[in-house]
Amino acid sequence: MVAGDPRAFLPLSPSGFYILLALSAEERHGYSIAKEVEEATEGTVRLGPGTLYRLIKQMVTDGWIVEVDRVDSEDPRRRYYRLTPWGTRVARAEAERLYNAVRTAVDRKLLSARAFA
Amino acid sequence: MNLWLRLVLLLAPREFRDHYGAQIAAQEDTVRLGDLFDLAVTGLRLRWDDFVRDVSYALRRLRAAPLFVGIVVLTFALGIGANVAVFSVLNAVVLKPLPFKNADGIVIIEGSSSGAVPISHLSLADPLDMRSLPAFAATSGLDDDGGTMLVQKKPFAISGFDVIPDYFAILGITAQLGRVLEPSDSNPGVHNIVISDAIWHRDFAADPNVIGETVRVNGVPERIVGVLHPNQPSLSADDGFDPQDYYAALPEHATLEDRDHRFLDGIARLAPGATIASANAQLRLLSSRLQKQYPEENFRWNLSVASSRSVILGGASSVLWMIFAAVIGILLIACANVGNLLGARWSTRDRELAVRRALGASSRRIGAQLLVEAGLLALVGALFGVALAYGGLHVLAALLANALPRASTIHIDALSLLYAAAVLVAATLLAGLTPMLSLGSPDLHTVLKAAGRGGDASSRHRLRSALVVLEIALALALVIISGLTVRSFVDLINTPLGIRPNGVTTSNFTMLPGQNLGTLAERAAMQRDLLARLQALPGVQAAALTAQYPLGPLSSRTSAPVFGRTYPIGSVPHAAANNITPKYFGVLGIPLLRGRSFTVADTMDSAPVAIVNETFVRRFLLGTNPIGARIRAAGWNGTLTRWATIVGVFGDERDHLTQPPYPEYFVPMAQSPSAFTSAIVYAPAVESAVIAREMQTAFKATLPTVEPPDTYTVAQLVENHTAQERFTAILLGTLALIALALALSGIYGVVAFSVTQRSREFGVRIAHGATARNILADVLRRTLSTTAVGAAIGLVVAAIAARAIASQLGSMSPFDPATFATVIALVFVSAVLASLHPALRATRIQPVDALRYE
Repeated sequence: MVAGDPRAFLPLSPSGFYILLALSAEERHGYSIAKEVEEATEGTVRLGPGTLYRLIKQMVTDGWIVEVDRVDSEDPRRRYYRLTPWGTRVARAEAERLYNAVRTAVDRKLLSARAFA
Repeated sequence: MNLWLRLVLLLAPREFRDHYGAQIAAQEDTVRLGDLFDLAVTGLRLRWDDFVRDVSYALRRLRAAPLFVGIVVLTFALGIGANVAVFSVLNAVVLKPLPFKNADGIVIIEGSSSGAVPISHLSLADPLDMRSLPAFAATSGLDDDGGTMLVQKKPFAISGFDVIPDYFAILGITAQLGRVLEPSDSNPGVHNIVISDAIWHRDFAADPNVIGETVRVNGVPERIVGVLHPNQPSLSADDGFDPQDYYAALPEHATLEDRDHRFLDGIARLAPGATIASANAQLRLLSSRLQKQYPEENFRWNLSVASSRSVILGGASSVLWMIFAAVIGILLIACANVGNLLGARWSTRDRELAVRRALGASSRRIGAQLLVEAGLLALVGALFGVALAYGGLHVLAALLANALPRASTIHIDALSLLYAAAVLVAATLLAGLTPMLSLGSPDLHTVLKAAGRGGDASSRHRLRSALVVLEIALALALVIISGLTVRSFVDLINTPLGIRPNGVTTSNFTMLPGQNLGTLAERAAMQRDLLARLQALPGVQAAALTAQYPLGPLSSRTSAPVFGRTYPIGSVPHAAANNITPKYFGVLGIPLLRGRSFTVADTMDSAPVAIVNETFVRRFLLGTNPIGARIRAAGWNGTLTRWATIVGVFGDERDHLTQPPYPEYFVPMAQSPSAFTSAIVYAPAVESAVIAREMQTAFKATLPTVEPPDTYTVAQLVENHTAQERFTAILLGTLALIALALALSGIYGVVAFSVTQRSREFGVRIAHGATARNILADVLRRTLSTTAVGAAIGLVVAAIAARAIASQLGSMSPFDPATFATVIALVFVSAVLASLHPALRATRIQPVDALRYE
């Protein structure tokens, strides 16, 4: 399953992309992912528990992330997730897609080059 | 955990809940209202995704098995279609309220004599007598009428009621133009009528100035005072809800003689707060008071009321509930069949299912897939079924219209579709749950081990057999009930009527035209002319005129005392009276037993004569020579009541299929010309359609201002009288055949599957010297024992059902041994035939092939 061109999955939904971003630096449990996404987007993207776990479930099924064997010291009910190499490739592909889109916007003078830098 | 969170989580599929519920609960402190909403939407979305996946999976699987799909869809279509059609009929005819305002308060008045002669019709005096009782807000009587309406010299055939004007208040009927009839319309000399919307359109081009216009109804000038609303139903115990073309008023005053002349249907409205029981209590007191006041006329005469619903719909209701039970039985058989087919299909996937379970698919998901597959098949079956019901009701429309009241209101409506949806869900669950039970939860290990053996797990075999037992039981019961119904119907239509069955054509009665129904001389002249024309028709061997003909719409019963005898009060002879021309008995082939028939010499100027039937003699003249005795012959419509001398005795004719012949006397039409007449002719060599046309031509020639009457052969008369029985017999017979066919296909399917499952066993046995006969006997023995168990249960069901419908079987015993024996034999023989093909296949199994099977 973990093969082929990750661009086949693009574009990702914003929520999905932000979850992958939240997991790019470190493994996190679900609630921490939601908090991280909310902070990173200055509150514009809020993941409700339903949306969050539905996306997590789908990503686990697709092999983008895995559940890790780690017990949380605060609350043993929490589960931690980690990005797989395949998930990393998908996230990277989406980032490249967005990067290209923004460059086009700059070329067309929609954005100033300064803001982009 | 937060209660709301827990509830909302229930919306999500179990797998999701099991896996993520704890994590979600871990963050319950931060859960907001929006999060609950988000969870709810997610739960439903996940379930929907599962459902869509199951549907596309099922579609893929089904596309690979077109034969299976075809059989199952056809089975479901028959089961669901029969249900929808019968439910639509039941709903329109029985379940819907009567088409009148506050219909619960409307009751039918019934009269019965506790003496020798039961009479169900009322005299004009009865509803008028009842007016004094506080239990009734209004009472009315009505009489079937009809004939010809002359509008600007053009004749139109019409049907109508003569009513006591409270009829309209009782039913809440109002006029769209003008007014309905009022008590003043009953006064002598007033001739006012109201007409239906249909007549207003057909004969008056919806002219708004029709009010006040005068038309001739059967020769009498009548003033139109009102036009009723479109499709206004009527109400009478005899005619149900048939819309009438016009209504005229009956007098609201009864003479002493009227008390004895009983021909009306009665309806009444209960006063607010009164019940049928309280009304009947008051009627008992009134009846006994009237019996004292009119000891002769009201002798043992008891009035009572019954719910209009039960009187008018009672017969149809019991028939339709019986047929409804039959289609429920068919649905169960269909579901059992499909259940077995699905079970066989899924059990061959044991290995795949076990592997999937091992990979984490829950039994619940696999069960859901099975249900989705059953549901899809049922859905397609239901679509075809509704189409089948729609077509079926169209095909049966004529049959229904004759057999059931308000049949014109039968449609597949929203409620029928709702019912179809309910049946669809029930069928899915019934057909899907049985194979689910048999799927059980074998683990991978047992299945892989068992698969090599090629045997059928015995618990599953038991379940499949149980379903076949159920099918056989239901089918056997249905076939027995329908067999009883069909046989009683055949008995009924073959009831000896006392008249010749072939070659006779009768015309419906026609009112003779003329002011106040014409003078006696005018009537006699018209009748002479009409009879001469009928007699002269080519091919007619004999012709006669009669006021009433056997199985016709009219019957007048009256007292007919014998001269010189005194009777204790209440035992005065009661007989049917008829006016006929001389060849009446010759046309109908009724044998002369004593004396003579009427002749042309019996005229207005000769001595009054009469003829009586055999039953009259047996009941009232036993032990004496009837010839020469005198009886009092009643006169109506201007003819005189006179003592007439009996000159002849003829054999009995039957007026009703289900009742024994009634005492009857006849007087010559020439001596007592009736105001209306029917024609009967015997023309054995002429086709009935030809003679019908010729008879109508004769009527037109004699009575140019009268619409010529309809004509009937004796077979048609019998058919008209047995419409409901015919409908029941045809429908139940068809349903029983469907049930039997489904049950046989169920037997075939199970035996075929079991032979396939046991092919290895058979192969081994054949290799060890078992003969074809041994194998055949083995398979057939299983079939026969299953059939025997099913038949035993079916017999019990049939016996209970037969007892319940005993009243509808006429003179036939509900436990008629011939029917029971025939049906049991039929079921066993067809069960053996159904299993013969797979059984023979078992005998041809090659040991080598069977061993190579896995």
